[in-house]
Amino acid sequence: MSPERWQEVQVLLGQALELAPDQRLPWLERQTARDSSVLNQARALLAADAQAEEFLEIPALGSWLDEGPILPGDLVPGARIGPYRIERLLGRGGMGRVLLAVREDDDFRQLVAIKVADRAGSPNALRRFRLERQILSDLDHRNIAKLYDGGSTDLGQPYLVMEHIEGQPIHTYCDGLPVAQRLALLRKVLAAVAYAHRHLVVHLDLKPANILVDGDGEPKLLDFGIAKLLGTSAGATLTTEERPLTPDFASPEQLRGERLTTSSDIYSLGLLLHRLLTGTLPNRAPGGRKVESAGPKRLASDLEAILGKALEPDPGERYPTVEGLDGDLERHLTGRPIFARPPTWSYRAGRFAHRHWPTLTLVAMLFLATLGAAATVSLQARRISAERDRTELARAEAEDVAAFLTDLLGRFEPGELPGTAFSVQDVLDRGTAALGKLDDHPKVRARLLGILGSTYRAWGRPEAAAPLLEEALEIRRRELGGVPPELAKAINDLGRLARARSDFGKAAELHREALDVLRRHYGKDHLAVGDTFVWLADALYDMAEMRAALANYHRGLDIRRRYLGKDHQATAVCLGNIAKVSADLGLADDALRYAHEAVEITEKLWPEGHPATAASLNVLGQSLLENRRLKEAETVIQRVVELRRRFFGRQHPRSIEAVNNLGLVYQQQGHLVEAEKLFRESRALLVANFGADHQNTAKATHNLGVVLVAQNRLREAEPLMREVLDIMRRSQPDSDNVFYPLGALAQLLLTDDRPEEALPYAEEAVRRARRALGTDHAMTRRFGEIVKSCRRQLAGTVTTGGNE
Amino acid sequence: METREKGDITTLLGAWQRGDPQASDRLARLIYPELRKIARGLMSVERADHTLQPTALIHEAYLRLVQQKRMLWQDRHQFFAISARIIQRILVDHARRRLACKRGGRIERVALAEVRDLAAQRPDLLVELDEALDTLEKLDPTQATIVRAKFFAGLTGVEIARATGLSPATVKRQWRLAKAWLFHELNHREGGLPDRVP
Repeated sequence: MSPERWQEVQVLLGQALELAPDQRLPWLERQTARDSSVLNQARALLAADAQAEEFLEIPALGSWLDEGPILPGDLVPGARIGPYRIERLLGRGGMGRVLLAVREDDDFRQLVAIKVADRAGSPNALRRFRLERQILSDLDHRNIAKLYDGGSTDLGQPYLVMEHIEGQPIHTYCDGLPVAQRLALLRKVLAAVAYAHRHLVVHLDLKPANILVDGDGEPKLLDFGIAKLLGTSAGATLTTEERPLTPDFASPEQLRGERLTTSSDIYSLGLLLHRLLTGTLPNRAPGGRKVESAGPKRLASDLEAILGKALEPDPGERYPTVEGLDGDLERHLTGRPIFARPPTWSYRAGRFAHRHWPTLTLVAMLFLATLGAAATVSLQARRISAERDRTELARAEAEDVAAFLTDLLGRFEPGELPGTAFSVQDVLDRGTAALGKLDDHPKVRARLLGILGSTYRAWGRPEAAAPLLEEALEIRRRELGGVPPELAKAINDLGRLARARSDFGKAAELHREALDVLRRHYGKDHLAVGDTFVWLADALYDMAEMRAALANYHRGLDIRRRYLGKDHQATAVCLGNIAKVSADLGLADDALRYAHEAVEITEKLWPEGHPATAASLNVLGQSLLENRRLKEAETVIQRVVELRRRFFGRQHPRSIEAVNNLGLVYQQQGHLVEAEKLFRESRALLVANFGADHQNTAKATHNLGVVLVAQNRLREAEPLMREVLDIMRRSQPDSDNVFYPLGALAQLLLTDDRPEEALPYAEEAVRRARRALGTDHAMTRRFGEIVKSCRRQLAGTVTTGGNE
Repeated sequence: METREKGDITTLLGAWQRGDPQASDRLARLIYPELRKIARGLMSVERADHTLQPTALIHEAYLRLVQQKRMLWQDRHQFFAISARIIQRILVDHARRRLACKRGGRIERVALAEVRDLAAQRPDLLVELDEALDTLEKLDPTQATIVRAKFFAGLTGVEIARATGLSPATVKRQWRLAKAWLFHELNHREGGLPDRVP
C-alpha cells in the first residue's frame, strides 16, 4: 500500500464511520465510482474497526511496570551471575528477585537459588544484604536453607547464593495431613526459629511461602531477607517503613512500625499455626487488637488457648520464647496441662477431672458422691491473665488480679496440695473478699466469680459457691448482653453447682439451656457442646435416668474424640463414665471394654501415675467388681488407693472413695471384718469433711450398714439404714436413686423376719429401680425377689396361722 | 557512562530530530536508567493498588532530565514524543526478552479481538506491532506518532493534541483509523481473514 492509497482508503473509511453502524457497509457498497481495490480495503478496515474497539486501549507501559521491566543487563535466563548461569525466575520478593541458577563445574551440576536485590544503589538494601549474608552464614540448622555464597552483579546489585529447596509450601503440604502430623511439622519449624533466636536472629517474615517442605518431609525456612540481627547497631536501626513485609503474617507491632523482637516471630508462628490447623487466618480487627478464630473447623480448647497466647496483641503477653510455644504444643500432644492458661487450680483440676460412680451391687451399694474436683472445664478455664477485657482495667490492676489468682489458685497442683481442706477454704474466702475491689469491671468480675464459685463447688461448699455463680450468670445475662460461649459457661457452672447441691433436675435443666445457647452459636459440633453433653449426662445419671445419661455420654464422647483425639484425658473420662453407666444398666461386657479403654489411655499418657489414671482404674475396678472378678478388682483398686493417697492425701474425698471401694472388694470376698474396718474409716473421714447428715456420708453409712447386715448384726445396722434413707429422701426427694437404701432396708427387714415392714420398701424399690434401670435389670429383678419373698412369707404366715 | 553522556543530551536530541539514526540509540541508553529508576520508584509507591499512571513516569523523567541536567527544552511536548519512542523501544525489547524466557513454554494465543491488554496477554504481538508501526510510519507519520504516544507512553488524547498541535477531535479520529489499520494488519499476520473479498 502506498501513502496515497492509504489516504484514499481512510477518507472513504472516515466518511463511513460518520454514519450509524448499520448504514456504513451499505453506504460503502454504493460508492461504485471508486477503485474496487480501494473499496475492498475500506470494507476490510471497516470490519477491523468493528472489532478494534478495545484494541491498544490499555497502554503497554502499565503491564511493563507491573511485572518488572527487563532492561539491558538484566538477569534473564542464560545470563550469568558470577560462576552461576540463570535458569529461570523463581519469584519476586519485597527487595528483589529469586532466581534459579546452576553452577556447572567439571564434575557436578548444582542447582542454587540466587536472591538478587533490585536496587543496586540503595545503601539500605546493601546493608540489609550484607546483614543477611552474615546472619545466614552464621546459621547452620537442618531446617534452615543454607547460604553458599554472595557478591554483587555487574550493575552493583548484591546477591546471595542459597541452597535451592525443592518442595512445597508448608500449608499445601499440610492439606489432608492429620493434626498430629501438622503439629509435628510445625514443631520442626519452631525448633529452627528457636535456633535462629538463640543466634540473635529474628526472621520477621515467617509465612507459608517461606517454609518449604522438601522431598524428605523436612521443612526448610527460607528468606531471612528482612531479618535483623538483634543487639547490633545495624539491626537496631531498621525501621518498619523500609522493611518489606507480608501483611497477612505480620504482627500488630510490625504493622504499626514499632520496635521488633523475637515476639514478633512468635506472633507470626501463631498465625502460621492457625493457618495450618484451620486452613484460614484469624479475623484481625483493625489495629490488630483482637484475634478471633474464624476457621471452619473449631479447635480443641488447648489449641485455642495456645493460639490465643501466641497471638496476644501485646508482645509482653505472648509466649516469651519459641520454646514456650513448642512446650505447650508438646504438652497438648501428650495430653498434659498446657501453660497457655495461667496455672489455675480449676484448669488443672479440669485436666484431672473425672466422675466417681457409686458402685452398684446388690449386697453392698456404695454411694460416694462426686465431690469431685469436678472443675472440668476446659472452657471455663479460659485465660485469665490474658483476659481480653484487659483494656477495661487499668493494666496494673489487671495484673494484680492475675497475680492474685495465680497465687491463689496456683497452689493446688497435685503434690503441692495442702494437707487439709481448711487452707483451701481460707484461700477461697480471701479470694472472695478480694472480689469486692472489682465492682467496676463486670467481665473480669464475672470470670473471677465463675472461678471462685466453681472452686468452692469442687471443694464441697456449694452454699458458698451459689451466690458467686448466680451473680456471675446475672452479669453475663444482663450486663454483657449474653455473649453466647460465656453465657453458656455461666449457665453450665450453675448447673454443675445445682448438681453438687443434689438438685439434679435443675442441673439437667440448666445444662439443656446451655446446650441450646451453644448450639445456636456454634451449631451442633463444638467441644463446648460435647462438654455440656457430658455434664447433662452426669445430672441425668444422678436422676437415675440411666439410658438418657448413656446416650448423652456417647454424644459427648463422640465430640471429644473428634476434637481432642482418642488419647486425651477428657476422652478417657468420658469412656470411664460410659463404662460405669453401662455397668449400672447391666451391660457388663460394655462396661469392662470401656473401662479398659479408659485405663489404657491414661496409662499411656501418664505411665508414672496420675490422678486421671486413678480415675479410670477406679472405674475399671468397679466394673471388675461387678463382674465378680474380685482378685483383679482388688489389685486394681489397691492401686487406686495408692495413687489417690499419693496425689490427694488420705483425707481427700477421692482417697476415701477408693478406700471405700476396697472395702467393697473385701466384703465380696467375704473378708467382712476388714471391710467393716474400711467402711468405718471412710465414714469417720466423711463425717469430718461433710457432717453426719450429708449424703456423701450417707452413702458410706449405707455401706457400713450393708456389711453389718452381712454379719447378721441387724440391730446395729437398722438405725444406720433408716438414717441413710432419711437423708436420701430429704436431699433428693424426687430421685429414683433412693431405691438403693430402700432395697437395702427391705432386705434387712426381710432378713430380720419382718416381711410386713419390708414389703412397702421393697415395692417402692422395685418401682423406682424399674423406672431408672428398666424391668430386666438384675437390680430390679433382685428387688422383685424381695417383694416375692415378703409376699410369700406373709402369705405363709397367714396360711400357717389359718392352719393352726 | 551515564555521566559521560550527560552533557550530550541536547545535542543528541537535536541530532535525533534531524533523523540521525545513531542519536536514538544513544538517547535511549541515556534515558533508560532514568526511566527505570523512576518506574521502580513509582511502582514501589503505588504498588499497593497497582494503578500506576504511565504519564506520571514521563513527567517525572522530564522533570529530572530537564531540571536536574539544566536542559532548556523549548517544548516539553516534544520530550513526550521522544520519550514515547524510547519507551516503545524499551517495551518491545522487553517483550522480546520475555518471549525468549518463555521459549519452550507455550504462550496462550488469545484471539486478537479478545485481547484487552496487549502487552500483558500477547507480548509476541508487541514485536509485530512494532514492525507494523514502522510500516504505518511510512504511510502516515502522524498516526504512528499518535499510536506511540497513546499506546506505548500512555499519554492521553489531550496531551497528544498539545504535543502535536492537532485538535483533540483530529487526534481521536486519527487514532481510530490507525487502530483499524493496525488491527487489520496484525490480524492478517495472525492468519486472520484475507483483506480482499474475492
